[in-house]
Amino acid sequence: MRSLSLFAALVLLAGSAWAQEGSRPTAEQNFLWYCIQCHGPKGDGKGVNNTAKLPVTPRNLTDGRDMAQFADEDMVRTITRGGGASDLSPIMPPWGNTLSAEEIRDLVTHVRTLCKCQFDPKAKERFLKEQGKLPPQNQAPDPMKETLR
Amino acid sequence: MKPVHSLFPSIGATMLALLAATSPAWGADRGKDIFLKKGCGECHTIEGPEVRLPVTERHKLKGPTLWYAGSKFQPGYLGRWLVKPQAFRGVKWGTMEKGRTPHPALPPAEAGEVARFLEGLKDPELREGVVPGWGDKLPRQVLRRARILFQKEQPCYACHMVHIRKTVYRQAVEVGGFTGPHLIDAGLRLRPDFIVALLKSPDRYAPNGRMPRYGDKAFTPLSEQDLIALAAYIATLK
Repeated sequence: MRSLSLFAALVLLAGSAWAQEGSRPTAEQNFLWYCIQCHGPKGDGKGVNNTAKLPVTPRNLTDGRDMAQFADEDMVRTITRGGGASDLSPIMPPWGNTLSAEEIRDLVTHVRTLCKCQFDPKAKERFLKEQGKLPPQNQAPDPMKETLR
Repeated sequence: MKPVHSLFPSIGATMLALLAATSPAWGADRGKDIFLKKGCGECHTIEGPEVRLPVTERHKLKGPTLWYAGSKFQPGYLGRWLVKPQAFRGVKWGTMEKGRTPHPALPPAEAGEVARFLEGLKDPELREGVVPGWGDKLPRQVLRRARILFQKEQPCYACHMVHIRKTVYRQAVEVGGFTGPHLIDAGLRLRPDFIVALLKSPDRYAPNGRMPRYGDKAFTPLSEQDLIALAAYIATLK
């Protein structure tokens, strides 16, 4: 009888350990641990590291008009490889070695809930135009410039 | 007037005390006693490696682990710091609230003994001698690469406050975030070999922190040379 209860206790312990190992943190939990530093708890870019002397301000993830320019793939790339990989500021560090691919996908879904937006290619075009990164219409891109890049 | 033979025991005891006080092992034991008696162990663990906790549990940690303090800190730094301690982060420990977590100070004699104990806690797996002994005079190419990495490619100052000169002619300005420990006096505080080890595997040295992992996987292609340059540069910040 005693050995049976010991076995049951062992099975329970092993089960709980497996559950702990197997379960991954929710996107919100990861956001409130990692992203909060710069993007703030609400995702509005008002994190504690957002200081006047930083060369860029952390993105306001709740701004749907702005965030609509990013496809899910863009966000996955930015979170995984850092801002520099998406032609954004390298102040955003790469989290690909810290978070799993699934956790990063979950974070993208979480960001979509913060911005209440979906990808809009026109928003991307508008953003590039505002940044001066889109060549004027009816004018072919300068091949030399492309080569130099 | 006491007879001469009765003085021998007290002379012997004094000699013994002097001998013991100058012995590092005795100092370390006494340092450990003070560490435990003062309750330092309530916030700082001295056995490692630290277990990686789920993000939801990490707020329960009250202070950084010290199981590799001897590999991390420059000799003598802890003794000075413990007399007049000031937290390294610009946010209170475990929160995102600006401010510094207060840390109890120790009298100089006790601080020295606790520091001696902590300096004896080393990670046997940490490779020593990885960063050449350049001191403050880094080779020009190393300095250039490190500055590009530190300020442009992987801007460490986003989380770690530093004093940076925009050009060699300008005065240093204080820039940087608050959530990471400041690097203003990193050269006085940290051993360069430890900085390389931390950048390579924060999972071993700070598994419950927020530091991104560099150097061990594909997403941050920093070479061994890059990490050495970065560590050597950080060690010049004083």
